[in-house]
Amino acid sequence: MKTSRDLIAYNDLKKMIIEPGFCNLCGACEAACPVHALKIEDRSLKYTHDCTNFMEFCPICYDICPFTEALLLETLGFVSGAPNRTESIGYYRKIILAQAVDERMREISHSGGVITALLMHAIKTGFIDGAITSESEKETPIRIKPLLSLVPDDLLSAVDYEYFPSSVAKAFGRAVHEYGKTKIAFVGTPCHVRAIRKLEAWEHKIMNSLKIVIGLICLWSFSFPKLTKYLKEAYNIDASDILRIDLDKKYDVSMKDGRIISISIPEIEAHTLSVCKMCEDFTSELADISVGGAHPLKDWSIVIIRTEVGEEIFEDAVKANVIRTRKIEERPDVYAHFVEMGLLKKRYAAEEIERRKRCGEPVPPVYIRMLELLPREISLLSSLRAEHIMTREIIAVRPEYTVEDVLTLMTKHHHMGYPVLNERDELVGIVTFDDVSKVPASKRKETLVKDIAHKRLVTAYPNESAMAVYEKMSEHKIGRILVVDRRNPKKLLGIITKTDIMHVLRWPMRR
Amino acid sequence: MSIILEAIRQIFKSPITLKYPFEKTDVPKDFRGRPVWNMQKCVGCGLCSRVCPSGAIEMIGKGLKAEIKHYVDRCIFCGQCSESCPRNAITMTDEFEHAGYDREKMIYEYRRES
Repeated sequence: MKTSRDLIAYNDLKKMIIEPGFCNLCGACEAACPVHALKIEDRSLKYTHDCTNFMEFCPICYDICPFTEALLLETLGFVSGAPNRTESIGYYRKIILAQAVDERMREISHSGGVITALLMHAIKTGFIDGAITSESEKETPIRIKPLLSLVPDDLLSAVDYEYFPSSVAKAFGRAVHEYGKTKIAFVGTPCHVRAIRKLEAWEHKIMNSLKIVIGLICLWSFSFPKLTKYLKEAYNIDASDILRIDLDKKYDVSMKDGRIISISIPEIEAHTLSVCKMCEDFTSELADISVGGAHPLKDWSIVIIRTEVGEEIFEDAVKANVIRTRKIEERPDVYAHFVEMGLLKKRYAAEEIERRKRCGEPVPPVYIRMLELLPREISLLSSLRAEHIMTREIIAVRPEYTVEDVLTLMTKHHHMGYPVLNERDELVGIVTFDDVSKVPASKRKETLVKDIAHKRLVTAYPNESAMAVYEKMSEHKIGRILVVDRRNPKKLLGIITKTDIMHVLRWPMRR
Repeated sequence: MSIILEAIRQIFKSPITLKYPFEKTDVPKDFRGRPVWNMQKCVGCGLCSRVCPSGAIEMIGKGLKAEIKHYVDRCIFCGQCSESCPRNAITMTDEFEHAGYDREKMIYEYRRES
């Protein structure tokens, strides 16, 4: 990571993001640039005129790019007011299943239709006066372009999946500058959400018009030329014949003539955008509300509400009988699949970053940011002890619990790892989602926790520094560490997760 | 007839004219008075000095070390600077009484406190 920065941010942006091919054309830089020097045209980012003619110094475009390290912790501040946090889904208020009451919307969106229903209701009640989503292009439906909806019916052409890049952040800039909208809802993938949040953290003027951010749940975006070339060669299908792509356990490519071709995830992985392979954010962790499909349930969506404004708009829609909800606890299988996909994405990302580092290939600065702490953060962590940051309320499982019980617990509390305590409250192991997901669904009732739990534990002591804990976590590549009594290593005192550490790093800049 | 009625009506109304400068009225909303810089927000891009049509804004230095000099005697209160600022660091205040005898006193300087 570079420590000293160029006076004109574009030089850095070009070197770190554009030249290695990490740009996903979100258009946030175009929306932010005060002199309109950057433009997204014909699916590439163009530098239309030399911005040094107008400015001596400007950090904007580098700061707000979703793939740079700047402002990353500040963006967490928009969601960190939420009461709960877990490693797999970030900060949240609650998780529920939801669907649109109107059948027409569910049919159009092929899943819950929650976003369409929510935004249409919000426009009708005047909560927002415009929404930015994406819609299909006419000739090739899987290719998408941004859509600005001003009246509720505009939203019916919006799509709820974004498997290809769409310049939605650019559209946000246009909505403010050209349409003069002041209460805008924004819908985008995790990286788009990050771009918008960075603009907000930067206190950019156009962000006064942002009302709510809805994040999509996203595994990867594809590179259009790469994927279409592959589909042409392997399956002999033209891009223009594809109607849509759905993701459950496999990618289902639906054709205009009704055929459906299933492609497995490892097979399709090579054709994603290079930057997506390193992305860890599955659930749009910075959005006000995150929405995604609830496989294997058809017609339902998983909704994660993270902020107060998100809760307000959602509750309003539920009250107006536009959306109906269901408890997630009713369907542990939906939740298990959901988390499995999230962890899959995180695992792919960790492997890819590792591989790139080994081969000396460039990695976007945003993904290095959390691996290498700043000196200020190191000194902060060194000054704290494990007992200051650990969670004391521990939910533990007994060795006799079945895997099914653990899964129910996970769906209820959303934590991904549980310490195993025996009847004398002695620590005997830890069971994580990874262990549970390895057990096939048919055997979940018979398998006991003591058969799958890890017995060799990485532990910390309460008076160790937080920095030492962090180093232990990075060294063993684990997401959580158990804090035990120094005199009696069987006595469990608390638990520290990576999310706890991120939360601590945000402390000094809390508003 | 109506003129006489109107005249009688006006006799009983209080006068509109204020005894300025002893009495003052509030300025209307979005009034463009003297612009003020919030240097905590300013990133020193220099756009305000570029767009200023009357050359009333001078930027000394670059980036976060930049200082802003605002010459009120040249300012035409058009609001371009606050419009162009990407970070809302410039606000147009309600101050409109800038008359004086000394041009030197009409220079406002802004510096980032660190």
